[in-house]
Amino acid sequence: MSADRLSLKLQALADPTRRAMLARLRQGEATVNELAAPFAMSLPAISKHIKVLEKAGLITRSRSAQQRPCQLSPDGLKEVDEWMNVYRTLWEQRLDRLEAYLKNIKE
Amino acid sequence: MSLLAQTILPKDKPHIITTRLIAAPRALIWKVLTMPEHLQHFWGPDGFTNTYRTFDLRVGGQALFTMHGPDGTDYPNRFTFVTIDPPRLLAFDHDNGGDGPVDHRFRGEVELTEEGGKTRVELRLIEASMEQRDAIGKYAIEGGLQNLDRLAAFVAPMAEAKNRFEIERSYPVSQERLFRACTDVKEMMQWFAPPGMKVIKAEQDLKPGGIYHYGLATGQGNEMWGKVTYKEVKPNSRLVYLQSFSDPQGGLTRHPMAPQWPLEMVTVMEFIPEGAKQTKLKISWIYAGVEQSEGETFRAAHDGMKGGWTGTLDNLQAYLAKGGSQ
Repeated sequence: MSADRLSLKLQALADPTRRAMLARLRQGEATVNELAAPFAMSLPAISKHIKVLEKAGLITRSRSAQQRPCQLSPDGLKEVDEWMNVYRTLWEQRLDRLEAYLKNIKE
Repeated sequence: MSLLAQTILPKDKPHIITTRLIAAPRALIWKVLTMPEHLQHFWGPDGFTNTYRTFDLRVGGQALFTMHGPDGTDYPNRFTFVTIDPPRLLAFDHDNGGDGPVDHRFRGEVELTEEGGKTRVELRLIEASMEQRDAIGKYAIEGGLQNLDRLAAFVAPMAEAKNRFEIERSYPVSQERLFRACTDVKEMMQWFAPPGMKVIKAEQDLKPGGIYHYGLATGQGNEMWGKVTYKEVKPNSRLVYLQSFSDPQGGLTRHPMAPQWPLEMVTVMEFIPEGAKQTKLKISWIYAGVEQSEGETFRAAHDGMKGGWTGTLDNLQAYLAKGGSQ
């Protein structure tokens, strides 16, 4: 199996610089220069991070404007979140239900 | 049995050879195979534990230990070391100490070979004759496969801590009560499925080697199937099983949303008493396989679940739920 979409997303999210970029994009779209500003990193290195995020479907880049600003992809995290539910939320909720169940029965 | 462990029975030699690739350094595997504080946890077939009285690791030295079977039977064992060549070869003569009901004598060899950054473990039982091999046959074959799978699951989190992921929760009930709620299918149906999902099949055979096959249906017509193969069932205290996604026929399938998610995971459920009326449930998932992409996916999820970007994700999700990024 070649790298699937979800794995690309997980790999993209595993890096703190890229997570910080996503956090910045929550405030609205940003150009490459704006995204690069907080980091002591070369522009090519920043561009590489952006490409990873774009390839993973977490961000999109505008085609119209000359600066090609980046923005969050609205459905980008949906898949990751659904999948995370399998082991985080699903089991947390399952243990909550077990607790409720045990409360309602007698020994 | 994992799909990784294999048995070889040579036609011309009374050997029972079990081999498995393990994603851990050779030196680490050598270490756990030569230290009783590690061996006691994984040596032997499923459900066995060991008590070591002596472990004198030198040529001519002896290891004296009792293997405790899952049914409570004790088996005295003696190794007399013949070859100690770290981290490659450990050879010993085995007998049962002479005072038990069984006296199974054989030469045992464990050979470790590096293979593409992983380690191949070969366990060889050299029986006295072809007749003796045939007589011991099935038990030794099954036991050998289980032993190497247990070794793999034991070293995986030592090689890489993120190969294990745990959650735990305490409940104000006795150990027996909690165990029953987590193993009795009728009880599990009351809490296992997420709200809105219906249990469409729950067929369970709760014993070592037995299978639990279940299916859940969402309101939207989707189905999710799971399969559990029990390895260890210790009433009221411990369950070990292999967990996988499945299909209606009971075959193993990939994660429907993440094809690189491990095909199988070792799951350990421990029921730990905290006084008479409180019990902690601790669940550990262990990735003990050798596929790099599976391991990376499992460990990345672990990172996400244990903090790191969980907060970021939650915030983003909440933000996106409020109307997206426009």
